[in-house]
Amino acid sequence: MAHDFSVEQYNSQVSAVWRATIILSIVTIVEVAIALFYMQAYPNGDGPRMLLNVGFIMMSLLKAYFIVGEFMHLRYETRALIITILAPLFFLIWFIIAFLWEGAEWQNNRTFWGVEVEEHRTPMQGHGAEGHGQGDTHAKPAEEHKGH
Amino acid sequence: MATELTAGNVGQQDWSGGKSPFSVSYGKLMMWYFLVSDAFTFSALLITYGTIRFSSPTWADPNKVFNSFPLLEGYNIPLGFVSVMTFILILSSVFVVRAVQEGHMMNRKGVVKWMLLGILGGLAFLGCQAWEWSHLIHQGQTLSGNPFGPPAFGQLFFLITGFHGFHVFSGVVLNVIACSLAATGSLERRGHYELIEKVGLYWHFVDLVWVFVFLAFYLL
Repeated sequence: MAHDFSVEQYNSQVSAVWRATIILSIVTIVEVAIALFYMQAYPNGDGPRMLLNVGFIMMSLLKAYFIVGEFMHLRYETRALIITILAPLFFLIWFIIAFLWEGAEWQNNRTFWGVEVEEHRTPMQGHGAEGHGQGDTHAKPAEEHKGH
Repeated sequence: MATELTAGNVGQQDWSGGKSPFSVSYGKLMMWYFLVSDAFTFSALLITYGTIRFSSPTWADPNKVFNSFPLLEGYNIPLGFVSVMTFILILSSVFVVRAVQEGHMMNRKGVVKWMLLGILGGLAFLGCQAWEWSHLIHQGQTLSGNPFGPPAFGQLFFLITGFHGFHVFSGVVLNVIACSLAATGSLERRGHYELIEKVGLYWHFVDLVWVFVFLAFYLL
């Protein structure tokens, strides 16, 4: 296996790896530069982020392509192996959509409906729940009040 | 064999037994499968981060959290130090690729030289992370409190970068073992440097995960 490597193959692979290194470095520099420009434009971080985030994700996937393809040498493996490794990762698409959707729904519950979850975990001694907002969680502590 | 791989001419007869249909050894294939499962572990952690972030009305601004640089106290250098860490890890990954390539040429000295550089990069990354952690803890970002935003930010930061750092640490240990086996000539006697390829796969995976940790915590 090892002895089958010709000098030409070696040279072409070495230059391919250095090329990938340069591309990875440039993409990283571009990412950081864009982040800094955005910070200059919106010091409070309240500008539009949609396009920016899509760009960051695309650039990260580009970096992942070079790391997996060149460094981990997956590009040069047999097609069956490539499919075996990459196909399961498609499950991640729904994994991401479903959970982010769920997270956004929680925020909606908190901000729009006033449902609080964190306060339930803090130990409630005596009238500890008095600091609450007008959420519907108030119902139970209020009943306790009457009992005292 | 190498020419077969690039041609990718795997036919039906390859699945009839007697040879690996994937044209890789058992060890390399199992390393790949382990990495696929590990990728799901890290995905779950990062998606947890996304879910909790989406569920919080406020979140920490990474440009304000990660703006310090060692020896340059008081300066505001957003994302500076983490960019250095990213470059260290990328370069370390490249060094290990070079070691794999020298292994193909059965060049023992080259393998040891590039592996040592790769190990050095891994140790440098771990040192940077230790500095970043202690700096953030001194600023008050702990598991229970966070001056920059909700406590969940700090908790997830320590959980995920800690889990990644543990991978870096175990990768360094594996690299040291492989490098010393190469240095003593043990791999040369085996007739191939496949062990370097296997630990190299793990090491590149650590670099790959960092790309997405960097994306989730520092860029988005």
